[in-house]
Amino acid sequence: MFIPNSLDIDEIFEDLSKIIGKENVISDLSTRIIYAQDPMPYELEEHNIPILVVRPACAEEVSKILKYANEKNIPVHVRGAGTSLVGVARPKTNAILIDLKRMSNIKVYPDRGYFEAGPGARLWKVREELAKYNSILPAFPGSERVATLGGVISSNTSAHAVDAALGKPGDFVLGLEIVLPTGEIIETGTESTRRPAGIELTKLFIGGEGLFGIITKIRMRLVPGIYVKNLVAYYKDVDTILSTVVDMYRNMVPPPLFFEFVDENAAKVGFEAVGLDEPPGPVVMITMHDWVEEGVNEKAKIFLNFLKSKDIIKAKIVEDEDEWRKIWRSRSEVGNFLNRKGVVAGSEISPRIDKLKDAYYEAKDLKNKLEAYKTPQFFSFGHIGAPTIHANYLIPFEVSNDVRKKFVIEVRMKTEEINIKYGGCGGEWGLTAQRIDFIKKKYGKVYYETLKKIKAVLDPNNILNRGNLEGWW
Amino acid sequence: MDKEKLYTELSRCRKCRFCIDSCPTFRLFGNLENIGPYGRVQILRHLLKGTIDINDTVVYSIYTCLTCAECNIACKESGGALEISELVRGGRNVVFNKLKKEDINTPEANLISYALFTIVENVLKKNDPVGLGGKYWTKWTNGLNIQGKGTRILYTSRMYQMIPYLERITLLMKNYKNMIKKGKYKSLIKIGASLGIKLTSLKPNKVLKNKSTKTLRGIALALKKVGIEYGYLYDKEPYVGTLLYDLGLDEYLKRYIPRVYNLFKEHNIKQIISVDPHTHHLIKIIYPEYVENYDIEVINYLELLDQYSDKLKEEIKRRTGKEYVIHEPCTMSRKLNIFREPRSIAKVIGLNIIEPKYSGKYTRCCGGPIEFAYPEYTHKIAMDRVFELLTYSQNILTYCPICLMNLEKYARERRGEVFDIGELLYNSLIP
Repeated sequence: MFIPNSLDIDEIFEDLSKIIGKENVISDLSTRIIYAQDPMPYELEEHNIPILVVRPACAEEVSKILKYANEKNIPVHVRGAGTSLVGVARPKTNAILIDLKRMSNIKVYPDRGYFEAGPGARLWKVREELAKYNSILPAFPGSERVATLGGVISSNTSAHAVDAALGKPGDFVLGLEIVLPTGEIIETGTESTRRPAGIELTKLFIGGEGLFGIITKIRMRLVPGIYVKNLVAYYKDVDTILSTVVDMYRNMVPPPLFFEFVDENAAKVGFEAVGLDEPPGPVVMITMHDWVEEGVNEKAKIFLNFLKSKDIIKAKIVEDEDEWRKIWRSRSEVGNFLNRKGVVAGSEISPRIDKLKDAYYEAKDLKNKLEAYKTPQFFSFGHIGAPTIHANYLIPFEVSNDVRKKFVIEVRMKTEEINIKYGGCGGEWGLTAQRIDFIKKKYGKVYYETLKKIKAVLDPNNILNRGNLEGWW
Repeated sequence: MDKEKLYTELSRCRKCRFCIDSCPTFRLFGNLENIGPYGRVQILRHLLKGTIDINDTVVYSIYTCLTCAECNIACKESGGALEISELVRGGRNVVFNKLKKEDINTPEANLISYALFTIVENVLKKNDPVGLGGKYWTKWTNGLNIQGKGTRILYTSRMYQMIPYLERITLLMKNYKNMIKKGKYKSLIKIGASLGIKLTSLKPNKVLKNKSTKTLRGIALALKKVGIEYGYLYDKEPYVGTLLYDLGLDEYLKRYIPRVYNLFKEHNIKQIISVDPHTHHLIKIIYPEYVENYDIEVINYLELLDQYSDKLKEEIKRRTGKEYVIHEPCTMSRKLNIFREPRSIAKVIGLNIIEPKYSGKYTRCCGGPIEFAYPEYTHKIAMDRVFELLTYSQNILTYCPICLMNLEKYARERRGEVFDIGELLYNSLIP
C-alpha cells in the first residue's frame, strides 16, 4: 500500500537489508506513516508516505544507501526529530526515509576544546553530557525534549535565543562529516577551536535542510557554562513591549539571551495552564547571561532599569526557581497549551527592527482577512527581542482536514507576505518546503535558480529531500 | 471509553513527539518511534480511522506498552494533556476485539491471543490470573488470628501471594514463547501438559515466597499493633482484576467488577485496607466508574499507618538505621499521587531514605506488567532500573509486589536486595 507500482519493494527491502541488516529496514505501513508525520495539523497524503524506513548506524551505511538510491533513482528523505513547523520533515514523494537516531554518540574532548556528536543525539542528552564539563550547548529550541543535534544544525535554528546575545548554533560548529547525496563521504572544517576563514564548505551544510548532504558527525566548540538571571515584566499592552525591543537595539542596550513575550490572550492560556494567577495583560520573560556572576547581576540590574523606564505595570528579577520555572513554561509551552483548544496555524515573522510594530499589527489584523476559515482566534507570542513574532490563528478541532490544510497554507502565505513587506525572513523554522514561494518572492528568480543549480551540482539525480526545494506539499 | 471518544482523544495528539524519551520501551528498542507513546497513539488513531489494518506491528506496539504513565507526565509538562497510557489501554480493547473477530494466525497475534484468553479464563474461573486455586493464598495468615469477618477488611487481592508463582510462570513463558507464537498451543497449561509439567505443581520462587509472606505479615502486624481492627476474607478473597484493566479487557472487567463488589457487599464490608498500589488504584479509582453508587471506603495501609505514626513508633522493636534507595512504584506515584506516607513510615522504622534521580512522579518502571507476554523485555527494563538504583545503595526499598518480583532477582545477582516496606515492618516489629 502507498508504494508506486514502478518500484519493486521486495527487491529494495532485500538490497537495503544487505547493507544495514534486516532489522534496520522497516516496510510496515504503520511505521512508515509514523515516521512521515509531522506536527502539521492535516493528514499525510499517499505521496507523502515513505516506501521504507531505514536506520543506518554510521556514515558508511548512509553512503551505501545513497549510492544505491542513485543507482535505482529512488528519492531519499532525511529528517531529524520530525518537528519542523513548515513541513520540512514530511516527505514530499514516496521515498526511503532515513532515521538517524542510531547515530547518537556524544564524545567530549575537553583538551581539544570541542565535542563531537552524531546527528541523532538528542539535545537534552548533549546538554547533560556537556554539563559534566561545565559547558553549555548554545542551542535552545522549544522542542529540546526530542530535537536532535543534526536537525538543529541542519536548520541552524536560534529558537528561543536572541541572535545578538550568543549567535546561532551554526556559529559554534567547527566541522562536519557529510555524506554527499551521491554517497561520497567528506570532512569539513577544522579540529582547532578557530573556525576557518575564507571559502569553507561547512557553511553550506549548516542550515542546509538536508538538501546538499546528510550530516553524520558534528564537531562543536565547547562553550563555558554561564550564569543567568531571570526577569519578568507585566505590561498594559503589547505596544510598549514592541517599543522596548526597538529601543533596546536603537540604544545599544546589552541584549538578553532570551527575550520572550506572550500577548494578553496567550498569557491567559499559559498562566492558567501552569497554575499561575491570570496576569493583567501581556508579559515579558527575560534571561540575562554572562560568564561571570557579577557580570550577570550587573546586566540584570541594567536591563531591569531599562524595562522600568517604559510604561509598565511592574518588573522584577525572579529569584525563586519554582516561580521562574512556571513563568517560563507559561511561555515555552504556550503553543502546546493552545493545541488543547483547537487547531493552530502558526507563523514566524522576523521583521526589520524599525518595522516591528507595523508587522505586528498587520499580523494581528490578518485574522479578519483569512478566507479558509473566517475570524479565527488570534494569539501572539515569541522571541520578541530577536525579534520573532509567532502569530497564531486558532480554529476549532471539528473543521475538516481539507479546511485545516487550506487554512495552514493561507496563514503561511499571508504571514510570509508580512515578512517580505517588512524586510524579514525567519530565524528558526527553515526556509524550504512550505516557504519556497516566499523564497521566490523575496529573493527573486535568480536567487532561487542559483539554489537549484547548487543542489543539482551536488545531487544530480535530485535524490535527497526531493520536493522540499521545489515547494511540493 | 467508546471508539468515537477514543478516536477524538487520539486525534488531539499534536505529533510533537515530546513524549518519546519518557517511554521505557522506546529507550529499550533503540528509539524506534512505533514502540513509544507517540507511535502507539498514532497507530491506534490510524487503526480506528481505517488507514491501517491490524497486523503484528500493531499488536506488538500496543501490547509492549507498560502503562507506566511516564508519557502522561511528559505530555502534560510539554503542554499537551493526553492521558496516553489510558488511551493505549482503551486501544487494547479495540485490538483485542479485532483479534477475537478476525482469525489472525501471525506470531504476535497468536502470542497475545493466547495470553489474554489465558488471563481471562483464569480470572473468571479461578479468581486470579495465575489460576492456581487452592488454599495457598491464605497460608501467610498462620498464627496471626485474623478474624474472618468485619466491616473493615485487609484486602490482599492475592497480589503478594501470587508473585512467587508468577515469577516461575514468567520464566516458563520466556522458554516456550516461540511455540505459542507458532500457534501450536492455545495455552501454557497445554504446553505444560505436553512437557509433563503441571502448573499447580510448579515450585514457587523461595526468596519471593519468603519476602511476600513477611510483607503481608508485617502489614497485618503493624495494623494490629497500632490498634486497628480488621477482618480478612481468607479463601473467599477475590482477585481485584488489575490485569483485566491493564490489558484493556473492558467487557470482562465490566462483568468481573460487580462480582467482586457484590461479594464485598454480601460480607457487609464498608472499608477496605489495600496493601498494594495496583489493587488500591483499581478499587478506589476504577471500581466507582463501573459500580453505581459505589460506597466502599478504600485506604492504603501506608496512609492508615501514617495516621498512627506515633503509636507505631512506640511499637518498633528494631531500627536498622541503614540506607535504602527508594524505588517508587509508578502506580503509587503517577496514578495515585501517594508520595509522603511511604517515606513517613520508612522514617518511623528507622530507614535512611535515598532519593534516586528518577523518583517521585518521574520514577521509572520495573518492567511490569508486560511479563505476561514479553518477559524478556520486562527483565531488561528491570535490570536497567536495578543498575541505576544500585549506584545509590545495595538496599532497594519498594512497596509493590510487581516491583518486588521484577527487581529482586537482578538486585540479588549483584549482591543487592530489594525489600518491601511491609517486610521491613515485619523485621522491625518482631523482637
